[in-house]
Amino acid sequence: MNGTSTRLARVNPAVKLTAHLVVMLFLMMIADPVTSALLWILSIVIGVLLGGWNIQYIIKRIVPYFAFFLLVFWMLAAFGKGEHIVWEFAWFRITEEGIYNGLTIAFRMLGFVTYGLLFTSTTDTTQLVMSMIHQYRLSPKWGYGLLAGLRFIPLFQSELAQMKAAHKIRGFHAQGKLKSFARYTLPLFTQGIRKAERVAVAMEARGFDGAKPRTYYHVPTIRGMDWMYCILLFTAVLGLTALSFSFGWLHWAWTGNSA
Amino acid sequence: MNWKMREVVLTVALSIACGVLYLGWSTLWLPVSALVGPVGAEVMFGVWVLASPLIAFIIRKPGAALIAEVSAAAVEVFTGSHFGLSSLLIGFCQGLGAEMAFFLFRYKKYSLSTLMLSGALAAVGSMAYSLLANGFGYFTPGVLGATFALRIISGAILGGLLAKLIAESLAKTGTLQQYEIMRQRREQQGDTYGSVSGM
Amino acid sequence: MAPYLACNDVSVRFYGAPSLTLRNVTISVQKGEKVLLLGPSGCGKSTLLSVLSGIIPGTIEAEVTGDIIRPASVGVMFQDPDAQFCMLTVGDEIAFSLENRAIPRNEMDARIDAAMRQANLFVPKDTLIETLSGGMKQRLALACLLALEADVLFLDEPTAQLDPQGRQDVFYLLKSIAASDMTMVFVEHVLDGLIDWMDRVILLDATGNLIGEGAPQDVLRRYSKEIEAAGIWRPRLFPHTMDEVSADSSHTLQITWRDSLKQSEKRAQTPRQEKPDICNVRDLTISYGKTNVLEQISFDIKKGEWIAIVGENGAGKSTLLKALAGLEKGRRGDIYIQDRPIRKWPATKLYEQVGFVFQNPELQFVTDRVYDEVAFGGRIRKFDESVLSEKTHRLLQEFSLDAHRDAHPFTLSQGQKRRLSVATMLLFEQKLLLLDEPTFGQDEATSNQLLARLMQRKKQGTAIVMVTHDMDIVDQYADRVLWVSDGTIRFDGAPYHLFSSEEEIPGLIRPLSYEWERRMRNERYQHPIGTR
Ligand SMILES: Nc1ncnc2c1ncn2[C@@H]1O[C@H](COP(=O)(O)OP(=O)(O)OP(=O)(O)O)[C@@H](O)[C@H]1O
Ligand SMILES: Nc1ncnc2c1ncn2[C@@H]1O[C@H](COP(=O)(O)OP(=O)(O)OP(=O)(O)O)[C@@H](O)[C@H]1O
Ligand SMILES: [Mg+2]
Ligand SMILES: [Mg+2]
Repeated sequence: MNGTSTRLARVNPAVKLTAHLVVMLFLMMIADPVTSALLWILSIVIGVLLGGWNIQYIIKRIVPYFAFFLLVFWMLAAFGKGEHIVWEFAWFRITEEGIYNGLTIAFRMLGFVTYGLLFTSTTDTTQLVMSMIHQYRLSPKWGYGLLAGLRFIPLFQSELAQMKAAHKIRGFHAQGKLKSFARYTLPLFTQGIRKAERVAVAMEARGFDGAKPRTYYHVPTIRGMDWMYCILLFTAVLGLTALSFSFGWLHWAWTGNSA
Repeated sequence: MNWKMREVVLTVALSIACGVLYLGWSTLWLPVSALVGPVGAEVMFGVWVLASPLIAFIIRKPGAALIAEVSAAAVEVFTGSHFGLSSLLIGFCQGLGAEMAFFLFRYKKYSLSTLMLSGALAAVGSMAYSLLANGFGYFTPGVLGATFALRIISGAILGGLLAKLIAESLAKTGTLQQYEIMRQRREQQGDTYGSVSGM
Repeated sequence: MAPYLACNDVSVRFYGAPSLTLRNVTISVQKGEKVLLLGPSGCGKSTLLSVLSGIIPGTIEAEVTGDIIRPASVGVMFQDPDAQFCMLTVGDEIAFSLENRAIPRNEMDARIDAAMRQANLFVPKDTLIETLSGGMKQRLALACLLALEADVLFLDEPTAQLDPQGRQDVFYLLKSIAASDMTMVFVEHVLDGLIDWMDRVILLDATGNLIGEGAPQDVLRRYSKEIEAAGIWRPRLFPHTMDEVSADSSHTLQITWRDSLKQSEKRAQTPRQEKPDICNVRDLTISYGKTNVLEQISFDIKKGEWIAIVGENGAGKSTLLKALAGLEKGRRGDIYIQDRPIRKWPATKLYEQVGFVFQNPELQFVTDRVYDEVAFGGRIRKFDESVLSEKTHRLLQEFSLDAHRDAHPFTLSQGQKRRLSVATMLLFEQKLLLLDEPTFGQDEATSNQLLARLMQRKKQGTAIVMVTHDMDIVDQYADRVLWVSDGTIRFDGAPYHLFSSEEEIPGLIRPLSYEWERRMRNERYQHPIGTR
């Protein structure tokens, strides 16, 4: 990932995670397309200013989601409820409300994606787990168990490739997606279980039991910068919401909707 | 609730295996939804809640279903999936639903019906999230009802039933000897245990 | 004196296993003793180590009876290097050992550096573990073990996948850290460089019973018949020394070496047979990311030829072999199988011609049962069931896997897994067999059995290409050896010419006969005839 040396990468992972989740929950409370779009644009601005994103990166990582945007929008526009019909064709009934809601949800989804990307593109895995242990009192057993398991991800991917190779070499030729899906599922699980067992054995054999006092090689702390980031982010979010309110665009999810 | 290290890593590993499976399933989802539309494609939903009933069935501990779904989502966060953070929220809702089934039976009954209930309740959980976040509330009642019904049925079958089938075939391979599922079976069959003592 | 580490009358049965794996084993070890466990592959050595170190029944549950005593802190190095890591980077992995011992943070970096130095692992601390080669992983495992500073160290074949020089280095390193009060229990098949500093050797037979124990020399002498019957490797030199053998021209070892040198020389002089090529490699370049692992490699493989690929850990041997099987795509250059570019072969057709055995045997397994595993290829190809069953049974018997017919491949011992993965490739008649370290972790009997099988295939015209760290096999079996180093093939020719050349061969150690010959040559050089 390109962003591990950026300013955002130095923000404490647990703090960053919480802040982004809060913003996402806030997005869920907003029910109009303009505010949702503003908050989505905010995440891109942050990505450019603090996360080291450039145009190419945005085109590569975010633009593909426009297709997703259209899908979400279409679903709500075409299947959503509403009275004011704009266009009708066969069983599709496009209404003003449908379009309004569709845009809201589509921008919200985009926001979810970019705030997620903002987090994952600037966060180191080990640091995140360590910060969960130190800032959120996640038990080391789960923290290190998660890390040990994460080692399997590339393994599983290469394993799937290897497994396909092994099958190929053994003369097995999968016909059709569903069939190969069925063929590789069980071995994938069996291997996963075996691996898990052995890693657990290895960890305990090295004196790890999750209960004894231990020291840490990585000790993430919360510093002034982390608070700064939270304040900055929340101020911007609330500022944009207020702006939207002053223009009369803002709608909350619980006030019901009207176009 | 004392988890063994082995069980912790197993949960994570199986969540990851499920994650890989989900990815494969997603590639199937697109053509299907193109064919029958997004509502019809809800039929395929169940596979996405497989982790909870499967892991709870093997480990048989309070909290296993919830933790399984959350760690499956955590795995997505760690792999840098863009849906990572939202899957954390979805995972929590689904996991809570799945967990309810086992809770209702006081963590005593691990049968096919419990698993299917768990899959169905996971679908309810995910529906709750969809209503709050994905604007499902804006759908016409007909679409909403159909989605809901398909999701629950799919959750029960592709989540619950499939979990049972997978777990049984895994049990046959002898890979689960070390876990609660097989221990309970051995106990039922009256297998004797050896023990060690210090000298 | 009360034993420091002991088991008394211990029996072990794994859940679901038909019979006991260990039967009434009694062993006791004094503080500071260095003990070596010897036994044929699959006899229960790893199981015994797990019992002694408390992994069974602490972490792995099984039916265990008997008594065990052990000191508080133990460290274990497992047989499979891939299985023992739980972090993502090299530095974090070693730090994990230190964290568990609650070493203060400010001491960690220095200790990590020290452990890496000790284990001869010279890579940046933030190197991802998954990118290390098999041998480098074993070094990392060793570094982690050293960082634990435990009272007792259990080492289960710590050098199985190391290059010969690396193996000697590790033995030397272990010997040097083996302070007098450190207790060590080893399992190893390769004995040279290790057995000479052991205090005691314990022998197990194929069914996990204790045959005998004692000081290395005594055991080798007293139980030589049993050792041979059980098929256990004997050291190549010990209890003799090079000086002793060199000095005495009627020494049996010297005679054997002379013979074998003569044979190798003769084989090197017989011209290469005019047979058609089965495989041609042209200007092949392979890279991971931006770094080229292999650059501009060219060579040919003829029908019925036996080729050994040798080289240091991480040299790119496995990479080359995978490329030959079409599993790794070259960046540039071409590979032709029977004059047709490998890219153009449809997978099903290609693997009728080419068999491949992975370095990690587990990658090979696709079924749940040992029997099915061997039969799989035949079933896919719709062999007649009765022919198939006969062939399968014969293979299982030859590879001493018959008793485990119904076991899950993953529950086999490491050596058994290796044999099974090779057996799966021998069911039908490929023209080219590619084997990545097919004999590691084998005892003498199984190793010979396996090689005999390959020899038979060679006689039928199959070309055999094997990666190996065992230079004796190279010398005795290979028609040609490819030495991979610095991203190219540094040598391509008869083993005799490689081993008898004066060139330095980093990572490798010549077979003893050549070492002896070099020594004689140098002596003659130093004392030319007539000046003495
Ligand atoms: N978890 C397990 N479940 C069932 N059987 C097992 C298990 N682990 C080992 N075994 C069986 O126990 C026997 C002894 O295995 P072990 O790994 O101890 O052999 P070993 O002497 O170390 O052999 P090698 O030299 O090949 O490593 C084998 O036959 C193996 O199939
Ligand atoms: N998937 C990979 N990604 C990146 N680098 C890799 C990968 N696989 C291997 N390498 C690197 O390529 C080099 C050659 O690896 P390879 O496995 O071919 O070595 P080898 O000669 O087989 O070593 P060994 O004797 O230890 O098995 C090593 O430096 C290794 O770190
Ligand atoms: Mg072993
Ligand atoms: Mg290799």
